[in-house]
Amino acid sequence: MRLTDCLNAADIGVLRTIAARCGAECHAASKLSLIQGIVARLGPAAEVCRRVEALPPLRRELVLALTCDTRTALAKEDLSAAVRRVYGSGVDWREAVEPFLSEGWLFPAGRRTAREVYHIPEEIRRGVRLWIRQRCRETCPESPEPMIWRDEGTAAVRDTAVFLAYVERHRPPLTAQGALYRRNQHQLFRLMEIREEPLGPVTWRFGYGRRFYDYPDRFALIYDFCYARGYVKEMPGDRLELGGEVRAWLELPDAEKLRDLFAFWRMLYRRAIPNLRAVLIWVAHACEQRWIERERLDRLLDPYVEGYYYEDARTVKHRRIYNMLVHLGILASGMTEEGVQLFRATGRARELLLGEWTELPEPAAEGLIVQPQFEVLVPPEWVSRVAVDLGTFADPVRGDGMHVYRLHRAAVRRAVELGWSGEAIVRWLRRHSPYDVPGHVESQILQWSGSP
Amino acid sequence: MKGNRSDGEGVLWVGADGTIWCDAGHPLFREAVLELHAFAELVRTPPKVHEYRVTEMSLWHACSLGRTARDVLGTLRRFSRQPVPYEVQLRVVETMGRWGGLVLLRRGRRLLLEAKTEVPPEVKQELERMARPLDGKRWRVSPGRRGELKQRLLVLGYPVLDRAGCADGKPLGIRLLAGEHGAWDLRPYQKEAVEAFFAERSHGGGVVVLPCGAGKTVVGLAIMARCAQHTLILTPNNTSAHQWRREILDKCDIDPEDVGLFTAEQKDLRPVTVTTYSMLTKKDRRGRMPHLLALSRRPWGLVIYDEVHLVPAPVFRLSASLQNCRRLGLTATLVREDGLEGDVFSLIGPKCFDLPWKAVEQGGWIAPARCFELRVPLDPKWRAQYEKAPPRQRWRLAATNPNKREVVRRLLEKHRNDPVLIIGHYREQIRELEKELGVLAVTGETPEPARERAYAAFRSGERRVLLLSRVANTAVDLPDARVAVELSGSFGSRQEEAQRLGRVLRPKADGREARFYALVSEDTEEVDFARRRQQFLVEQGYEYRVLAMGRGEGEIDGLP
Repeated sequence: MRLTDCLNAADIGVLRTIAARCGAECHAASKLSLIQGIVARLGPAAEVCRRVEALPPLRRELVLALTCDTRTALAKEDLSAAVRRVYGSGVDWREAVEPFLSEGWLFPAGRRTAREVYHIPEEIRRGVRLWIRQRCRETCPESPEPMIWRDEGTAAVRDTAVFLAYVERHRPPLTAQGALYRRNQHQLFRLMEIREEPLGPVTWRFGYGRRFYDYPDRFALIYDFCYARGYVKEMPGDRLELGGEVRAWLELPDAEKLRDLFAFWRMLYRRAIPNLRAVLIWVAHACEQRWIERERLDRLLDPYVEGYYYEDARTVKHRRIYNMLVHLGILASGMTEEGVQLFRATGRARELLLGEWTELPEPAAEGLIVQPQFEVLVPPEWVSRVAVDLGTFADPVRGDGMHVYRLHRAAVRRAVELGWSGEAIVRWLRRHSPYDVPGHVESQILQWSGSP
Repeated sequence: MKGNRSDGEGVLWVGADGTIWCDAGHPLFREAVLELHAFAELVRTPPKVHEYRVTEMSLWHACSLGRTARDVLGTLRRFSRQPVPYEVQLRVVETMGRWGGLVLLRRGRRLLLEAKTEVPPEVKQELERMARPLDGKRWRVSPGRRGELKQRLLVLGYPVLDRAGCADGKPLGIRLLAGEHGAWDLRPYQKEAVEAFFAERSHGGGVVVLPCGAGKTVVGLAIMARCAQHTLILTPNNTSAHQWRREILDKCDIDPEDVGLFTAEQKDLRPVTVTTYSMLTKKDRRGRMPHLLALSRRPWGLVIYDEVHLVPAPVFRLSASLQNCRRLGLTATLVREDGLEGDVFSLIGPKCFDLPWKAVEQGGWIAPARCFELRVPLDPKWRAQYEKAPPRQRWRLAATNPNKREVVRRLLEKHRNDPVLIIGHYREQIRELEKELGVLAVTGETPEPARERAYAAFRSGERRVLLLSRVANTAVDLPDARVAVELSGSFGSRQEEAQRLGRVLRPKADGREARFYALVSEDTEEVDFARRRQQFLVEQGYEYRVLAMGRGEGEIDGLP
């Protein structure tokens, strides 16, 4: 909501208070004059910055906490939760919020709604963001570009598809505790672009999702995401199978898939890191289009991140925040020659962390390539759409760079048992390939599918 | 985000093991392939997507051409559709970082190996075995083990930068003659190649990679003239040995008495001696190689290895003992079917100059060419025989498919005014064609003088069509062939295909484009082998058009 809209909805008494507090020059009797005066005084981003700078620390924290929330309307519960996080319990939230109301940071929505809802005007949000940005630039100098860096791109999405394809192909059994057996985990992780190792014996491991105890960090997120969205089901009789929701997911573009996975991660990790929203805003601004040292970022986040039971604040920052942001393709992680770790936000960070939409080009209308030697090449841009189906009648050979699948008798027979016909396989290949499918490959598939 | 192209725009995909796939239909394909060429090897060229690989050797060649890890990573990032995998970046930096870590220097009459960076224990161990340690970072190397040491360390993953230089050989009076039009002008890229060989960083040994027809011999002569010392020239066979001698006498100002051929017929050891690889490796009754010994004792100042990719393994031993003189390798391709690229690298030298074929073609120095693969069907009878045959004979049956003769006849009709070379692998096949078409044939059995006569007749235009057996695979100079027809080839040799195309790529007086036809029997093993053979040329940016040949007359006339 824009500042003028907020002011328009407020009654003249409130406007007079705000005008007096901020020293706006205007006619106290004219609402129009009041609004104009206040907008002139509070609207400019530089002015908001100055006011943020002048706030006492705790109140500044509260402003930051509130503006970091990207939702446009805040319920009273949100306010009270924010107050509790900043001031601790035992403080009346109305008392704490009152100064913000009278200084024009926060506006109650019109009385017409039944729920008690508050708005922060666009101009204020923008100004606060600017302040954060300036603050980041002042405290974290830019580092020179490292020689090499890790950027996982949308690998998380592809590996999710690889996991789903694996489930469809193998219907893997689960242990009595409901987790995949280590043997299956090994098998699955070998097919993934970013490889993890199954967990060794663990003592303390909780707080970051339903199966966090059973799986390594990245896969735990992928698994919990698929489970929560209904893409996989833990069937009675201890088997893992695909859920009915998965079809809709397959059709989505990768950017959309990543957005959803990221939203899920934020929701999941917020339990252990209550200030996660604020943390992400700081990270996004600090690393925007430049490399900064990990230690600088650590210091910047100090006020927002605390230890969590078995982990100290440093570990939470490094393993739970930075590492996961790298896995989600939001941060790129580099290393200087002296061994200092650096981070830079990728192109996806603006959209995912700051909610600022940018149109990313969709991959050109291509598809997979069926080679005469019975190999199917799948460009990574297409993996997440086709992996589940393709994986039933062809076996994955490699899952990095160009994904390669091999068509062979056993795989086709397996697909037939799952209900595919030879004709359906050939049709599917034709539909997903812009090039001709070699004739002898087609006839061989038909032959395999026909004779047991 | 700077550095990477945003998703969807790039032309490459990079796998974690250094495999690179290149989208052959992409507008940036050409540009990307020319760049990739500097630091990656072509592995496979299935349709639509070509597969390259970044290897240690390919990265070190890039180093020797002056590329840095930053250049390589920059190229990958610029053309890659997805972020470049971390593992690959790490390997590029790490591998290229080892270049220059071990340096061989000369201290008075001794050689000294110096480690500029930390080397791992296994390398130290090897050094302890082969050289005398002075302190933790330096070893004294006996000059006799110079080559062997470089070879061993390369196997361990540590290339040695040989800065020890070369001893001068005996001086020789030689000068490049002025050309027909007043000045014998080297083309700009040939000048560059000569400069690159004498440049600071090549240190006495290097390989110049130029396409067939781009004038490798001339580069060799220019380097010889600049060196002006006793020179040994090693060639793949007698024909090309004679060819070299002719070129030297033709283009250089040198006393003809100073140029000798060291072959089975005449064993002249002169200041400039031209010989063949097979002469060197010829064994006497006791299993020794007397010629190798005799030649390695002479005070050469320069050794030229023509067609480096053909150097047989035993010759590397000679090279190991000839480390003290300048070594020049000439080739159109470093691809070796036996995988001995590492020995070429450590004993002759790293690549010092490289120019992709397409670049030369664009400069107008070699004729532009169109390549066609014509699929010839098998007759039912022949097909039945083929299906029944044991795998070893299938290949031969496919290659000698009688229907190919008909296609050849029609191609000759189509190109009735052009000089045509027909190249085959099987003697009988050539004999049959010779009878059927009544054209001149040159095979391994043709005596040397008759061969020379046949070539001369072809060169003069007296004969328009020439049939060649495998002798044509190596350096014969046939200036004006515009069309080459490949009847059959050996088991998918990439360098063979390159050589054959080279036959027709020499620039034509009228500037017309060259044609290369490969005849391949439809639905046989030959198709796969043909694909393998073509890899090298596809890497160079040439395209093959595949056309099915029916029984009809129309197809060949319908060709563009």
